[in-house]
Amino acid sequence: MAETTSTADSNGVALRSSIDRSLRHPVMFFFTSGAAWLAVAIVLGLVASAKKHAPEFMNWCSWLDAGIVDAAHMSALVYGWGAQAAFGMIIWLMARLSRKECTNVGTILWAGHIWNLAVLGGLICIMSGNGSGVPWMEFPGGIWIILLLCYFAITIWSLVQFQVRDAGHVYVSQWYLLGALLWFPWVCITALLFVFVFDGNAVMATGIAAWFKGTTFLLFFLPTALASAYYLAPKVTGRPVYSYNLALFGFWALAFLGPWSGMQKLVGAPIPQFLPYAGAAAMVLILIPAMSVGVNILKTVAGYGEVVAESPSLRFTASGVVLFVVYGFLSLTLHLVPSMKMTQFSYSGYGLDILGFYGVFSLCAFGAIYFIVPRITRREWLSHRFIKWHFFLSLYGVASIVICAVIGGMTQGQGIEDISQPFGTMAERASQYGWGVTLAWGFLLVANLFFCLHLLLMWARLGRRSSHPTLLKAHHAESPHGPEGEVDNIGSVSA
Amino acid sequence: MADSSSRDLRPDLDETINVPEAHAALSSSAGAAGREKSLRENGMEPVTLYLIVISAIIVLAGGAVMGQGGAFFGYNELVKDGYMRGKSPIAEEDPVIPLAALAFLQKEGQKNYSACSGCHQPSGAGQPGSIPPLAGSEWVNGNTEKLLLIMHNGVQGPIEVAGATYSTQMEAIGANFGPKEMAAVMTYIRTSWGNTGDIVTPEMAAVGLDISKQRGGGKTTAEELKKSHDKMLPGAKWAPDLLIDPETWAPVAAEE
Repeated sequence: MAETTSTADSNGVALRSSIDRSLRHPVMFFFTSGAAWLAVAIVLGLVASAKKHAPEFMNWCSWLDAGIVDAAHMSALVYGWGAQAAFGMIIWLMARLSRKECTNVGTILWAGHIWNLAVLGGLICIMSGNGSGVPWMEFPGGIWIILLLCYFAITIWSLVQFQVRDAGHVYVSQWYLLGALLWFPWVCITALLFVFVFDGNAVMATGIAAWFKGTTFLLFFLPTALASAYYLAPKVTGRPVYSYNLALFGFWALAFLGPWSGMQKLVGAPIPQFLPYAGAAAMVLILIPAMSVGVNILKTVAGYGEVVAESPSLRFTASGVVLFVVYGFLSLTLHLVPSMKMTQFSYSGYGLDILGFYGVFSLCAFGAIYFIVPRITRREWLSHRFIKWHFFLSLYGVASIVICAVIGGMTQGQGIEDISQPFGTMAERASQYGWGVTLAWGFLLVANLFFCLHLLLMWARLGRRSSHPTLLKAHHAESPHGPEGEVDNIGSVSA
Repeated sequence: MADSSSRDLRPDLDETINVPEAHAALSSSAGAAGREKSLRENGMEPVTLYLIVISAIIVLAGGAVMGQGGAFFGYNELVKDGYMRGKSPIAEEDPVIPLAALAFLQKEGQKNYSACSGCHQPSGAGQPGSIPPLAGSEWVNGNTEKLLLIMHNGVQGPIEVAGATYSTQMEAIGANFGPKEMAAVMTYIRTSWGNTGDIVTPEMAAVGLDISKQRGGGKTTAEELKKSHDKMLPGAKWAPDLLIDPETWAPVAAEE
């Protein structure tokens, strides 16, 4: 009971390392290309944010017009970075939890390359003015078919692995992974059909697109992040998940509420009146799963503050989980009836989106990457300072974006509501906060430079060859091969 | 402990395998996977009471939002009553947006200038030898009373305009213009095509129409106009950017 570390079962170690070996190429591919897209998305985000308070910025370039660059920014962030980070996490976590090696590496890699080309093609379409103009579905219709086929080619093997696993307990993370794997195609196909194929009412198509945006986050990205959090918190601390019941409660609460969210964006639009209000109520209730997951994971790592602070993966993951609780509170506040007037046409919604996508999902994804990459490359992270810089700049960046966007959005929303004031007053009120958001994207850009560089060095197999992990301590070693990090002497034992 | 040379000689004999060393080699070849901890069975703590209470409060808040959604699943209701933005707290009725006097009169005048443009051309240039120009004409830029009389009654030549003498007759094109139309067309031709005249207000035009009525009709001549009507119509002047109400054509009182 006391000693459950892996030295006790060499079978487990051998299996784990063979699973890691089998997945090293696709997972590394998804993480590195995802990080590259993240850099692109952040640069586009800087330009898009600058355009909101300085409209003449870079207006010599029609490819970077305000509407276009906004769409390109969000598409690169969601489908370039987010989806690929999620793919890497899903296929690795599912293989580990089902204890099956991946036997379809070639297919996954092919599909991964095509996915990247499709995202690139889609971005070119958007920037040349041929996007669809539907939020979060800006790529033109044909691209979506390619992306969907790639999605199946990448993730179907995880479902197969789950199906053929040795019988036994299904771990919490697997619930979330299965949920994400099955919900995303449902949401995506439904939305594509109603928006691009069926000849329905245009206002309703807008509603479906808003539903797609809400549910893609709550039913794909968020479950993937939570699967990783439920995996890493017990894994790194060595403690069991605090409460199985609470985990069940949180999972089913999210599964029940998730599909209702999204349409709150259309309050007052001529669609059946209950739809937006049901969406708003779901976004209010999202605090319940947020608190359940937050309590469960934080209780799991409670008393292990030092481990959380020192482990890069757990530090990012725990921050992501805390920010999920913050997301729940903010979501509740912004979707109460009196505040919806202020948020519907203002920066506030963007603040909540970024808190969810960057604060919750991306921080958890970074945590997973810091855990997975040393295992699949069999090298340790080079620099604890890089990781610290990445962590603090990410945290400050996200916090600044969210605070500026939410507070700025509230004053902006009041300005819109106040009919006795000219429209320009509203824009003036918001522009100061717009500056803040632009500055915060600058933070994130620097954070991502550290992250990208570090990840590329690991990809080039230039990581430390050591059996000691890179921890976020002040003095972890005098040199990369110092007393703590002795050189990995595989082969020399038997030589 | 067996030394390495004897192990190399008898690699298959189980007795000589050093188990801890073999494990160490295995786990070091497994890298990070070797040192990680196993997942344990989940804890079975009950869901705490405070979480249930807080969840209940959140459900109440969600219900309050839901309650604003009207009849649940009522597909016939589209938009909630009172969702549309209310009337402005300042103006009770539809607010009238005041416009700058010059721009407004020019726009209105241009509409009725179509009565003139057949001869005088849209550019105000007239036709050399037969129709006098309006652009740069001293009759248009100069005193307004004679201009109004020409427009209202017509003129018979000869008349000297911008250095050339014309003998064509002009009909009483503006005979049906009221004070507003007259003011607008006069302002338009006096301020377009490089002309330098000022605004003619409806008040001035009304005075001019009275004068024309007292005169008793019939085409004017250049001598008559020069002799007895070469003066400005009386009335308060409007600055070009004075705000006027587009419905009543009256200046809007400054509010603050």
